[in-house]
Amino acid sequence: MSDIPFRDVDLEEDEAGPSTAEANYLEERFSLWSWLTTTDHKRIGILYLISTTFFFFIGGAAAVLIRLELFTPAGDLLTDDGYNKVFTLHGVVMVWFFLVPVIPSVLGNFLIPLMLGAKDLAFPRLNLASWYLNIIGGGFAVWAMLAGGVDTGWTFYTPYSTAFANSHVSLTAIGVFISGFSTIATGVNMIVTVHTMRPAGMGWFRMPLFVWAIYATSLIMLLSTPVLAIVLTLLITERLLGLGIFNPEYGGDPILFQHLFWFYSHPAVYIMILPGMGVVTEVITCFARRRVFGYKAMVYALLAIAVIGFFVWGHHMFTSGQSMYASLTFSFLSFIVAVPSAIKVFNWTATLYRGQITFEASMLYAMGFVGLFTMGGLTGLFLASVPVDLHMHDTYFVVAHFHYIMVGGMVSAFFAGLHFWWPKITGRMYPETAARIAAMLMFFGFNLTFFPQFILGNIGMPRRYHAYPDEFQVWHVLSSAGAVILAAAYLMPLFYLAWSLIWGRKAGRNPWRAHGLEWQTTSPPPKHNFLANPDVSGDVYAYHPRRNPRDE
Amino acid sequence: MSAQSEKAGAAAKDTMSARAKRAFEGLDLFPEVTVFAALVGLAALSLILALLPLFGSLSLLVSLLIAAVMAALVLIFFMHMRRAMTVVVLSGMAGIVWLTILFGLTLSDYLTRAGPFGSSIEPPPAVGRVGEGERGL
Amino acid sequence: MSKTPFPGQEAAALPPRALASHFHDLSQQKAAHDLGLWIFLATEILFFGGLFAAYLVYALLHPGPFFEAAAETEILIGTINTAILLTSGLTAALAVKAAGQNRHDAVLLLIGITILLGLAFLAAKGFEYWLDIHHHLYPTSPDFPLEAPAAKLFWSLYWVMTGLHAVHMTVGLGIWAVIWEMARRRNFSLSDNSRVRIAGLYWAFVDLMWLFLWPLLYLAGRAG
Repeated sequence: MSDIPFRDVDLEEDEAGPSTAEANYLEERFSLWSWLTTTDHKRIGILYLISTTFFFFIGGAAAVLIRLELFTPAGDLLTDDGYNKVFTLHGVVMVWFFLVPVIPSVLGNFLIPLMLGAKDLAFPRLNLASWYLNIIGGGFAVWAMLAGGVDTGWTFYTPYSTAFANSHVSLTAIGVFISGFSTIATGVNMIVTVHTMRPAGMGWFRMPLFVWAIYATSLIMLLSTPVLAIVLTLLITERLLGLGIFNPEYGGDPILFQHLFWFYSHPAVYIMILPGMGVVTEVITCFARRRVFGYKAMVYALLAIAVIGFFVWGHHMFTSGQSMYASLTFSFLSFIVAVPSAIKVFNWTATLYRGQITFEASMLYAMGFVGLFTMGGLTGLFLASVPVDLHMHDTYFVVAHFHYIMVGGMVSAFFAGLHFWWPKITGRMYPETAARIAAMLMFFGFNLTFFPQFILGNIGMPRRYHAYPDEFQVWHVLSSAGAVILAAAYLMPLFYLAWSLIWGRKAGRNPWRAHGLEWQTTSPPPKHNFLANPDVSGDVYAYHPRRNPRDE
Repeated sequence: MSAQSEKAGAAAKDTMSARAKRAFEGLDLFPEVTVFAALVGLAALSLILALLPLFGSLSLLVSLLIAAVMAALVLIFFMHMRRAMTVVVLSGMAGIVWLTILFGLTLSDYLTRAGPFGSSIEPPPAVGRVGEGERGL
Repeated sequence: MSKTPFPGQEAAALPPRALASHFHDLSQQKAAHDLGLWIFLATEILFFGGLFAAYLVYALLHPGPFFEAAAETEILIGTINTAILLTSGLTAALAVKAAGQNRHDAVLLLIGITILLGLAFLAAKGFEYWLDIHHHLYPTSPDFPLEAPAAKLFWSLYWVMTGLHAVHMTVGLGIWAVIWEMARRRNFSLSDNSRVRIAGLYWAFVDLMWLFLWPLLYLAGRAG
């Protein structure tokens, strides 16, 4: 890396940049048609923001029903069948229509070209197509829900899904299949953009870590999603045409379905966390006013997680009848993936050291992310070890573990990023106090909801049951109470962010005094991102001077 | 689609004589034609070896080996992988490497299961099965 | 690769349409198109890879019945189709070459032949399907001719593998048809534009997949 002398950005918020003759991307054209046919990556990011928010609240409504049902030991609110359908809906919608697209397609779409100094993604029309595929897939899933729902759980395990379930499995599977194309399209776009659209001077190791995170995520998307597509195709043909790849009557093996499914779905867990890591890195460096500690280690850790993530899928199958030797191999490999994850946590912590930390809302979310991700990651090690997993498998311990990663991690990171780049996206500042209250409520509500579930799982509460013995009730009540707080905390941003669109203070081009390229252009950016060629020679993390030009 | 192909057919007929000659004049047909001949030769070899009882249970492996050679010819000469950017070669390789991961770790289960091969698979109970007509979409 | 200066005014000199506005020059655009398609092909390898994994597992678990079932496929039609596809691979590769040299008539002719060969492939495939159904070679048939249950595993894989390949063929034919019509109207520059090259790559890949399906589905289990 070449040595760029320390250079602080202009502290005054200058609105008189180059000419402001070109309208910003929001005001360039107003009609609904211009939005639905746009190929501007920033507008497509907004379209994704709207659709993922919609799916988030559908999935969230299902979660509310689940927590209400579990308030009492008797299964009284929903029927057995109804409960199965509600948790399946929650899983399917949250995984494929919220968590997978949310950061890569909303923030990634908006920011990757800006951060690289490019005019757009490499394939703008493919980008728009990916949004349509996503909502068409989501449409199928919602249609299946309205037509009567699915009761297989989000994993669609055979032979239940092929021979026994009489709900709308195929319809949902088709929806997920279509959304898979959307994921692949996004992945292709991101990788090709990073490879071919960087201007001279933007070398690989000058890119912001958010770009690296999206790059690593895209690698996983591309290499895993096709296997999900084929396994769902086999499921659908088995159900609709009577072919029998996983049919034990023909000598087929239902566990093969699990192998192929988890070959996608375990790496998909990393699709749902790596982008969050990227966001948090940008936020923490900015609000701690520190260079990121160990830039290259952060890059290699991202790539290592992406690759090693493909070697561990069998730890979902310890109790399936899989060979014991395979289980031991997968267990060992699963421990290895903890190493790069730990590197990231240590480096975020080290970045904070000697920083001038301020607690803006996005920083609160980011700090929440680091803590909750660590909890989720460490409990993952419990589950990666075969003997402990035999005890914990299919209990609330597992539920708590992955919600710490997905909700405590990814959703926190998404809110961190949304608040951090909100001034850039909309040109308005959000109300800071309201946002801080929401962030703290979210952290508190989240822990109250999910921490009791670790205890529940350990004392034997299985997942996917809606009636349970009385002695579990106290923990379930705590969890449901937490869920109410969490729901309120999720509704708050909907209101104050909408409020800020009209009454929010105008944001300058760089309200956080941050160093990324995206802060060099106006807020909101013009249609082609930069009015003048951006200066890509700066260091994205130049928040404090290097004492020694050679140190990281 | 069919209208298109009829047109294509008509166009092909019209140009069969003089125009076809003109169309190809000076167009270097090599190395493509040589590669094509090699591919046809390899396919014929594969067919013959598959029909003769030479390799017993390994004959499928022999066919697949020949297929791999043919695939390499297609990749190098028809898809121009030799002249492609490094990152293109890497992305192609990634597909194959990840396929190996999928095969390898899946087999790590099947090859080490207890009991005789294939004995771990049992038919499911008949109870609770849903008939063809009752299954939702 | 990407060591180009930031998009500047000098790009304006290029012909319209061939260069999209967000690219700096044609070589950047060509690199993006090539890489994009190759990455897509890598995902296709894994898409078919799931099927190959299933084939591998079941061929190991039930070798006897599996290869017995394989001997029931129509080897003659399968082999003719292999020859047809190899030939279409040649014409497609030549079409790409001719497009690079802006040879309009040759491109039209070669794409036309490729389309005809593709249609011939699908027609033969359709006839083969008709024969298979006639012989009750589908798992739900009450008169399925083979005794061993695992034979139905093979035939399930046969239908999915050939069916998905045929879908890819159909997509490829659609792409060729659109390109043929656009080229006939001369509304894009053959050499500056990536269309023919990209379609040729995709077609070669579909060809390449068949090179593996053919031994797995038709040649397996033929020798004593």
